[in-house]
Order: sequence, then C-alpha cells, then structure tokens
Amino acid sequence: MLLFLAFGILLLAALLSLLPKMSGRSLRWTGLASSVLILCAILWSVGPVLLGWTDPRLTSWWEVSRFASLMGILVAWLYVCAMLVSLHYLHVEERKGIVSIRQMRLYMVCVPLFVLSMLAAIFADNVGILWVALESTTLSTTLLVSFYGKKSSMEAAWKYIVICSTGIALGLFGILILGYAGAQAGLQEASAFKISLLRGATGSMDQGIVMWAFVFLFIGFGTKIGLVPMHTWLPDAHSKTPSPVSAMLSGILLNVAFFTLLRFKGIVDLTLKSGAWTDQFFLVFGVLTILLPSIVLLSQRNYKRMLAYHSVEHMGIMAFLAGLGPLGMVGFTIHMIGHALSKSALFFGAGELLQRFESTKFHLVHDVLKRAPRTGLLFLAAALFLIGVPPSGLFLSEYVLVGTGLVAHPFLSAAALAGITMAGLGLMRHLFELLFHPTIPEEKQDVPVETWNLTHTVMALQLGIGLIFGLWMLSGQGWPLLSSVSADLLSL
Amino acid sequence: MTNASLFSMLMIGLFVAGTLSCFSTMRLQSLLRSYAFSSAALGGLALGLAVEESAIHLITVAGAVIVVKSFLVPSVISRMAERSHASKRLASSLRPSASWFVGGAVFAVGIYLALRSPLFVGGLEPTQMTALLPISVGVVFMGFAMMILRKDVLSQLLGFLVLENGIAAFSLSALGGIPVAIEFGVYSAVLIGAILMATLSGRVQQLFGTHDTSRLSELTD
Repeated sequence: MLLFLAFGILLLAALLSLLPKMSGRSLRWTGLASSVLILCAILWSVGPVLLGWTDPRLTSWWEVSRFASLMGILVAWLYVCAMLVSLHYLHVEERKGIVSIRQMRLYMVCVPLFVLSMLAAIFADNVGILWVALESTTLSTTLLVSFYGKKSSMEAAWKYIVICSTGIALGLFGILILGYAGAQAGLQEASAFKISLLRGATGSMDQGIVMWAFVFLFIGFGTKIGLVPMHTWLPDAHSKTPSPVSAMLSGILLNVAFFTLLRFKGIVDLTLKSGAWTDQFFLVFGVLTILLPSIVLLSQRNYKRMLAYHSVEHMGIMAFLAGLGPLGMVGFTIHMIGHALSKSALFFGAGELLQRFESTKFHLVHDVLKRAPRTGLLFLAAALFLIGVPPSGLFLSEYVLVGTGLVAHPFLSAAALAGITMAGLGLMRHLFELLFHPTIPEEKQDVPVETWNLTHTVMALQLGIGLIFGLWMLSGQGWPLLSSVSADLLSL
Repeated sequence: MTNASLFSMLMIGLFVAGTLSCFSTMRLQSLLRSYAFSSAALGGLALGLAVEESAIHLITVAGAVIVVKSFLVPSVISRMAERSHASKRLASSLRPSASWFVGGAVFAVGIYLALRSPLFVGGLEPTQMTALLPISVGVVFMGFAMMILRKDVLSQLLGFLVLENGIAAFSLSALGGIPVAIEFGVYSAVLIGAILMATLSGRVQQLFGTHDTSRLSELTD
C-alpha cells in the first residue's frame, strides 16, 4: 500500500511542477519535499523486508523481495541526495541565467517520473509493467540529456533514445519469446507474463526457446546497462545531463537495468538446471566492458565523460562478478552499493567543478585543491573510494573478483584485473592533473573563494556512509546480511 | 480455409509488402504512408485473428494498432518534419533499387534463422499464426537493418518503428497477443517515444541544418 503511496507522491510532484505559478524556488523545494517523503515511504514499506523482519511480499502485479527492497532504498536515497544538490545547483544555474524557469519546470517534472519508473521496474512482477517502466526511464530522461540545448546535447540525446529504445525493444522481443516458452509449458496468457509464475514453470519450459530468449534479453537489457559493445550512448548521455541527474543515471539506473537482467537470468538458469551457460555471457562481456573503457580512460579529455566511462568499467566488474556464482553475487551486491555511493558523490562534485570553472575539459581546469579545496578534497576521497582503496567496500568486491575469478577463470580474471588497474591509473593520472597541476593562461582565472555549500554536505554524507559501509563489510559483520539479500538473485 | 483465415493471410501479405516498401522508399511522405499501410495491415491481421480465434481482446489491440500506428505516429512525424523544414528526400547508404534487394535478403535471412530456431520445433500446425512467426522475425531484422543503413534521423526513427511492428507481429503469432493492459502500456510507450524522437529530430534539423546522422559527430574520444 505504501508503495502505491510512493508512486502517488511522485506523480503528484510531477503534476505540481507543471503549475505555471510555481517559482524556481518553490519548484526546487517541491522536488526536495517529494524526495524526502519517498525515502520515508520506501524505508517504512520495504525496510523490514530488507532486514528480514517481515517476509517478502508477492501480489498479482508486484514482488517485494529483499534484493528489490535494497534497490528501492538506494533509489530513494539517491533521489534525496540529487534533490538536495539540485537545490544549490539549479539555484546557481538560474542566477547565472543558464537555466530558465521553463527548463527548471521540465527538470522537476522529468525527475520524479524517472524515479517512479525505476521503482516500478524494481518491484514489478509482471514483465509487461517491467518493460514499460524500463522504457519509461529512457523516455523520462531524454529531455534531461538534451537539457542545455547545445549541439552536443542533441547528439547525445538522439543516440540515447535511439540506442536505448532499440535495445529495450529487443528486450521486449526476449520477454515475448520467454512468454512463448511459458505458454508452451502450459501457462495461461496472463500467467506467462509473471516472473514468479515463470519461475515455477521452468521445469517444463523448452530449453532451446529459453536460450533464444536470453540472447535477446542480454543484448536488450545489456544495452541499457552499458555493456560493451552496446555502451556507445552512455558516455555521451551521462556527461551531458545536469550533474545531479548524471549522478542518478550512473549511480542507480544502470543497477536497475542490471537487476532486471539478473531476474531473467534466474529463470533461464532454472530451466537449464545450471548457471554455467548464462555465466559465460556475463564473464566474457564483463571482461570486454572492463577492458575497453580502461583503454579510453587513459586518453580522456573531459572529466564528466571520464566518470561516465568509469561507470561502464564498473558495470563490467559487476557483470564479471555476476558470472562467478554465489560468492560473486555477494561481491556484486557490495559493488553495486559502493559504486552507487561513490559515483554519485563524484558526479555531484563534477557539477560543482563545472559551475566554478565553467568547463568540463581537463586542460581548462587545474590546481583545484588550492582554488576549490573543499570540492577537490571530497572529489579525491570519492575517487579513491571508486578505485577500491580500503576501507572502500569496492576493495572487498574486487578482492572477491580476483580471489574467486583467478581460481575459476584465470585468463579472463587476469585480463579483468589488468583492465581494472589501467582504469584506476587513468583516473588517478587525470585527477592529479586536475588537482595539482598549476593553472595555465587559457583557463578561467578569477575563480571566487570557495565556501562550504549543500553539495559538499551531501558529498561528505555519501562518503561517510560509504566509509561506514566499507568498514562494516571489511570487518565481516555485514557479510551475513548481504549474503542472504544477494541469495534472492540466485535461483539454484 | 475459412474466410477469416483468407483475410488474415491477405493481411500478412500486405504487412510484408508495406514493410518492404518502407525499407526501400526514399521520400518521407511515401515512407510514412508505407508505414501507416503496413501498420493498418497488422491491425487488420489482429482483427482477423480476433474473429477466427474468438479472442475479443484482440479487437482492442487491432483498434490500438490502427489508431496509434496508422494515424497518430505518422501524423506526429509529418507535422514535426514540416515544422522543422526537414528535407523530404531521405538519405541512405543504398540506392533505391539496391534497397529492394537488400531488404528482401535481410527479410529472407530473418525467416531462415527463425525456421532453424527452436521457436519452430514443437510440431506446430501450419496456420497463418505459425506463418506469421518467421515473418515477424524477418520484419524485426529489416527494422534493425534500416536503422543501420539509413543515414537520416527520420528514417532511423521509422526503422525503429518497423522493428517494433515486427515485435508486435511476433506477439500476435506466438502468444495470440499480450494482455490488454500491457498492450496499452507498450503502445503508449511507443507513441511517447515516437513523439520524443520526432521532437528531437526537429531540434537536430534546427541546430545542424540537416537530418543527416553522419553530421552528429561532435562527441568522440
């Protein structure tokens, strides 16, 4: 019931933002109020399920599992963080005349609809709703990619909508083939579109048809996740949106698409009575998705684009972990949480840098640690978290990748490890140039003195939570909870 | 063969003809007409199956297909193209005559792969429903090829819509349609997607002065 309340709040927030009398300030506060309400509703509704205090819930349309609850809470948390940062970010953009009231209205209509779509995709048991919700995440964010109306924004938005919509259309094709297998196995029309019922019918589903379905599902949803070679839209789109939205796109939307794919993987594994066949997809595409961006990262010229490429690389790490069985799946869950927290903090910081230095190009932003020490320090800390420096939780997930992977798949794991190392080096190389390199005459010189603002508070909060989470996991105390939560994704 | 079966077979033929025409047409208005025509045939097919299989819900599907795909989507795209003063002449990597040949070849490959796939194992009776299954896969392949071979944003948008028509045809043949609530959601998403893409294509035309996607090359590494 509270889930529907959350959906209602988001719809209401989007509708309220359409009111012509709303000023920029009231639009921003409406967005923040709705995000706080959503966090409360989601925590109240699914928090007990995540902690195992109440049983998972299943209705005819929705399924609240423990993993879905974790995803829902992450979405709601990042929504609050993004709205807090937007409060400051949009105010600055409005003051500088970069964003008009019309654009701000568009922003505040699209973001709640985007969050609504993500929540619906996470909790849907009906694959039709799931598909519509996932497609809606693309539709609701396309105008945010083209937000600034520049040539490059239009190019990014066009690639985003065409490639993602085509990918998701192929995903629909996979869903229909899976439904066809379910119908052949004796499920009625409506039942063949429910994940929980499909799971129950796997014993009599045709293995060949299900394998075909998975190929389309993997290509389709893999496009939305940003797996190489279907990733081409991601660096463009994630670097062109306003930074708080980039944080949500990179921090959580990719995970939502991944969760969807893993739910279908479970059905396929049950049908084939083994996870070995689907694991191969995740391992091979995982390595490719780690290697390609790690090479591109070495020669990157734009820091928002660099962060976007890092998201691709981290999706590769998560894909590789997803192909490593139960232990890998725990690593996947840890990585997902750690990446969501650190990547969103980095994008918030990137927004702060952009507003201060008025460029996203590395060669036009230097000496940040001296000229914007708060942002610089937080940016450095978040980057260290992202590359898995202890006590980051990502250290543990990458340790699982190396430890488990080298035993089971030594060559692929060695390639993955080389890619992860290169990507880390690429990030640190650019970061050191950004933070410590002396300024050059071509760049903006008259940067005002930096004071602590809301974005810094949110970044510090994200990093604080990331630190506690990392210590909790490294001490071993968090392992039992995340093991039982990630077991939701294992069908065998 | 009943009258309803004959009608369905005729609709399948028209659907394929309309799609092939989409693949090879080089003028925007003709392309939109071909798309509307093939979509109407798909709607007619849903109607034929509704009568034949006594599946009432397919009447709603037929109505939705015809309204959304034959009228709303083409008119939105046409209006957007006029507003942005887009060129009526479309760009492709292929000449019109070669397009017919390539379109037919891609379609044949799709059918061949579908026939060789496990989708066809199971000893299905030879009906228009089973005939539609490999055809729908062929149409999906054609839509995909169209998106790759065409060089302007409007044709790529139409390529996406052709691909989606193939998927809709597959749902009719393999599952006898999908639940109406989901169908409604899917068509709403397609309609909104088409409106958004048409809007973006208009802005691309205004900013770049062309619809040619090879000019969208500012974002590189």
